[in-house]
Amino acid sequence: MTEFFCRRDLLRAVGATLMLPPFLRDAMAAAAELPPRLVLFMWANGTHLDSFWPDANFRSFILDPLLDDPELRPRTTVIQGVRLDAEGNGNEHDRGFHSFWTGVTPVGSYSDSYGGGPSLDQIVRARLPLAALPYPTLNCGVHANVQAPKNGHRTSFSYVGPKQPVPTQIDPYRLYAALFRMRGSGDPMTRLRHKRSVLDFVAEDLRLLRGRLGTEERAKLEIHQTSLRELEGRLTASLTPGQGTSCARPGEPMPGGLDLRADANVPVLTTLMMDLAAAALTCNLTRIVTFQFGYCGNGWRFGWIGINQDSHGAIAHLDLPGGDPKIAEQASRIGRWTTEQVAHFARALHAVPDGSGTALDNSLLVFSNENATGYHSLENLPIAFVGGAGGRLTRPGRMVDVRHPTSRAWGTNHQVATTVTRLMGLEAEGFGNRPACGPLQGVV
Amino acid sequence: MRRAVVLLLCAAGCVGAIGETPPTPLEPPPAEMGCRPGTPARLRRLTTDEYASVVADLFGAAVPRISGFPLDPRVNGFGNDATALVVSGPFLDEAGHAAEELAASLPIERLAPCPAGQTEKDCARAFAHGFGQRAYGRPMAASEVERLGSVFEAGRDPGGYQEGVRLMAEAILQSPHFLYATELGGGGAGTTRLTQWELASRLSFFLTGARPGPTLRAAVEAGRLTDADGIETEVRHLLDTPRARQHLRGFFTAWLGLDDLPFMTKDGSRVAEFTRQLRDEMTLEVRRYLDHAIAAGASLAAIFGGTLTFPGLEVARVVYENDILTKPAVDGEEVSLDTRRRKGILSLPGTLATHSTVDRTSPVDRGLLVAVRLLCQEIAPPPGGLVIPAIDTDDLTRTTRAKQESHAAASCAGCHDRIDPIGFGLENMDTLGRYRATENNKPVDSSGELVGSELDFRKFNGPAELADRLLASNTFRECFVTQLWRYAEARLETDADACVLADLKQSLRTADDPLVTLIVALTRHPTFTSRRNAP
Repeated sequence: MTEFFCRRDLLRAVGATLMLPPFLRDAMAAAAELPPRLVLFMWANGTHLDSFWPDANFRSFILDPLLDDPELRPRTTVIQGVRLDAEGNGNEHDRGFHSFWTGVTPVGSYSDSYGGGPSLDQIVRARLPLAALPYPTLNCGVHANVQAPKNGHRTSFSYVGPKQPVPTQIDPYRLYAALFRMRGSGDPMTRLRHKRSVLDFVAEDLRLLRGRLGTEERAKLEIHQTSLRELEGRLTASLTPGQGTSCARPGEPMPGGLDLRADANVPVLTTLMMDLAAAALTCNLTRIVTFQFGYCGNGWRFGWIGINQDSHGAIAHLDLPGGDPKIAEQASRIGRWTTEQVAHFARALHAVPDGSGTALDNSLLVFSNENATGYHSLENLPIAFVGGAGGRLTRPGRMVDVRHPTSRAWGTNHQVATTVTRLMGLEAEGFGNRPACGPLQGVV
Repeated sequence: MRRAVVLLLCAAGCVGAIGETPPTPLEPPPAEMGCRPGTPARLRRLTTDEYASVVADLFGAAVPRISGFPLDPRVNGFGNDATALVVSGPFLDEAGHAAEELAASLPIERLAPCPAGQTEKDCARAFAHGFGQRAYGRPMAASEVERLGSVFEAGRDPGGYQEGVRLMAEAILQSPHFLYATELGGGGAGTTRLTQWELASRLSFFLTGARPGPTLRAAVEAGRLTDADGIETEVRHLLDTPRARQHLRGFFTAWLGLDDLPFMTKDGSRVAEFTRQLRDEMTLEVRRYLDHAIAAGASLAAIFGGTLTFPGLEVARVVYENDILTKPAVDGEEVSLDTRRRKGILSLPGTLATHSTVDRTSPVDRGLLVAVRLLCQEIAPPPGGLVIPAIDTDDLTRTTRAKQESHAAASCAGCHDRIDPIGFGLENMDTLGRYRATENNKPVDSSGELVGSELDFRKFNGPAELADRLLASNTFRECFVTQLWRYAEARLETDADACVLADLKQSLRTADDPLVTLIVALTRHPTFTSRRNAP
């Protein structure tokens, strides 16, 4: 793994409820005023839609891991009728990644296209009072960058600016260390004073450089400044003394040697990353999470559910209307397995009391895919909201068809983002290059 | 088991310019005007590889290896795109942790001694000057040292002199002047010339992936980087170092999509001969091949037409079989390729195997490598709403080519006619890069065609003939110039760069010209040494 990572820290942690380091207490104290948690799950390669959409009994093969759970069922809203409204370079995999959550035309070339502006997670982060949190946003996933040299533009769907992807953390050891490792030794106040003097020096360097740059280059500097402010917030939170409180933190990730690129490790990596991300949310170390299941176009073989074939080339692409029922069945089971992971995540949030309800009640999980179908259709994207969004999602437990009642015009990803922004307690008339698109019809 | 392939389908036109602007013919500018620099005054964040090299230079081999940094975005295969490289939260986290660990490892007694008779303040200032200069690759400004003084004061309370010095080092290692290469020049309106230190840094990162070493620093101090001749002298000197040769290898592997090779996997149920050892030997062979070609001048002919290679024993046994004239007695021994079948980097097992799928050849992947990376054609990915036919690897009655051809429906042909015929020409090399005359008991047809520009309908058969066609092609030579320029400039070109690209294309006249010719022309060019002050 990593030489800077200290194994002892992992071994020291036991997977139970622990006295929290003081910084968590401070974060929790601030939680009362915080907006709902937001999680954007992105899975890839489309799905078998006939198995996705719930029937009259609000059941579906793919979604049953959510809909069969008596606690999750009433907290799930299935969104039908959204089309990805995206143009410009890239194919449908790329468009899902560069445009779903940015809502703007991509930059880059045909074969190498990137988001053309910040994505929803970063936009919402900038608008919400999250500065006191150690990690205002957390971008993580599994196998997100396994093919980085060939598919650099498919390693993240989160962007801070045009062609500026937020790197996706795929290493549970690293993530654990970032979230739960107490760094440094000695007197915390001394350490804080030392670190602040360093950060002040760096901030002054950045300020002096700013005047020497044009607009576009300044934007890059501002990203750096934001990162620096967050780092300082993290330091302050982690080193300020306070009284302990308790919060469930996950056990150590499996000891070393877990190959982060191996296909067979996808299930264990998914569980590890999800447990860490859920803990970060329930401990109020973060409030916004992106979670990426592989890169778009990944060929996970799903040997762990008895499939063991290239799920992109040999399954998704062959899952055609009226096609081979065996392929449809495999595509459906892949969807169901993915839903199981999301349900596991939702249960982890639901297990934690939060205000008058649970952490899940004060969260919005958006479960979506970069394609609608395996054959690259972007119409009728499979989307589900899980959680109560702090009570703003007033009538969950149903499917909503967001198409226009008479014209049957599609809802759009811009409207999804507008709806999500509003559910986060922020005003929004539109999103990206559709500033007046309004929210999805009938969801809130 | 069935397999599918995305047949690239093209509704609209297939070919366009890379970047955000439509193609513009490259007309040389009127000579009296010269070329204006297209690159703005900017900061270019170091890649994680550059960061690691810089740290290794500063601290020596004893420091912990830098790892855990998020992967850099790859644009057009290159990891150094100046727009895409930002100091994201995760990057800053890692840089902060690394700075703390590195500062803690500093041997203060040796690096920042403070003999009796000097004040600690003076000693700290001396350290800030020396360490800062090495870290930033330029002399420290008095104001910077002054501000570091406050960091020193904070650090030595209560840790004393040593902790104060360590904290200064920590600050330097997180400064933007350390994390970025600055390309700011002297400011002012319009065009600005890079400072000599910036120019040295630019040369050094381009050619060695690190900050300037002692020789280049001495050249700056002696004022030798003020004109094109001075630059050329230093460039030629740099290119003569092992470090530059190693770094050039990285350019070629990124360009040719070979950075995936060390992680390549194959489906063991279909490619039983694939082992990790075979893959690792392929990786080493590519490295040795490139090292040899680079040492021989790195002309296009040396890279793409070389007839010697250095395989491992397993690769020789499993992949080459009779395609080498002698068997290596030991791993990596020089052998001659049978040039009727193989020639150059594209014919190496590692290249052919990387540009394949896990269980079969991919005429599309191989075709795209040539069309996009080697000929600079832009091919659109398949648009929406299409039904994608499959390539059924369980169908043991037909060749991959036959399956692929039968699926290239008319609507797909607009793009696939530019891609597949190239890949078909390599069909006599299987997913491990092994020669085959038959596939599924059917004869393999490896007649191929290069499509595009003056290469239209140049027929070839197999990798050796492909190499010959490419090496005779102006399009290929010019694309190479463009790719090297993109890598040197750390960005894609726009219309504004047509001028410099036209100049450079004049400078590499044949495939036998050594690479140094082009690099000298590139680094002597006024656009290399200047920046545009953007609003």
